[in-house]
Amino acid sequence: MPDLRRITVTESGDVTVVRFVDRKIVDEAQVNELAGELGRLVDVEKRRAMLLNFSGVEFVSSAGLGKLIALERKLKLAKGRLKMSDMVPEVMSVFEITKLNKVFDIRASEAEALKAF
Amino acid sequence: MDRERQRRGMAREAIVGGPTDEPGKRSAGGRTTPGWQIDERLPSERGASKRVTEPLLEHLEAHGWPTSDVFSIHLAVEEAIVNAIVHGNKLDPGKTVHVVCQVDAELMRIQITDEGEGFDPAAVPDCTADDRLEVPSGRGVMLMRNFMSRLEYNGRGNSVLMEKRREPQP
Repeated sequence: MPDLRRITVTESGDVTVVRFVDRKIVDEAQVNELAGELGRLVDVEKRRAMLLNFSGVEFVSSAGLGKLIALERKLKLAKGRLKMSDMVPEVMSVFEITKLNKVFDIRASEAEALKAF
Repeated sequence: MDRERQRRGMAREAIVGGPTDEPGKRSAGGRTTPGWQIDERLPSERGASKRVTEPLLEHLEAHGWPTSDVFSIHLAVEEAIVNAIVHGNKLDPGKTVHVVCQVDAELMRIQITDEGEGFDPAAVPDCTADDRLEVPSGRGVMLMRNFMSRLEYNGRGNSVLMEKRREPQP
């Protein structure tokens, strides 16, 4: 696996659990790098069940949201599944306002999300 | 890491005469209301918003603004400046984004003006419509509107004024 700068990856059974290195997911260069690393997990490593654990993430801009939507589509096309967990209330509010909580399966905790796969 | 960047941001702003803590003023209630302001012309390049957001957030945190307010202000200011740089000035190195921001004890006010042609904010499609939910862009203005107490564009649509009133503490 190439060096990962924006995420850490662990396994829990068949599920790939992704955590974010950055507390704030903000500007486009950073977001593009993040998207590249997430995309490789699907395209190159053929991961099909992914959980994004947002613990430690304090901020997500709309640029970040766009890339998460792209990841969701990519996984859907590959017949994979994406879930999210552990969002602080402020980050969750961004998903609620944009109604992306209807697009993504967002659970309170990693344990709850893993059970839902 | 972020703290270190913030410190560097402050040092740079201090050199160019950016944020200044004016002497405290007495409000009618007798409380001290420290005034703070920044007046910056940002280059039209990605990442330039940090020159405003880093000292602004540092000021808000140092003055005890609630976490949710700091988050709201960060999000709205980031989205507005990125819009101005990318959609307004179209990353033209010959154009700048003018940011004027004032913060007192209860209110953050910021005006962000680009040199672009402007746009009609009412014509931005609703990103929460069922058929647009999965479109990857177009959420910035909606987020700004939701997280701010006040948001107004000028007639041309190249300048936005935003205000955030500090949430009362429980």
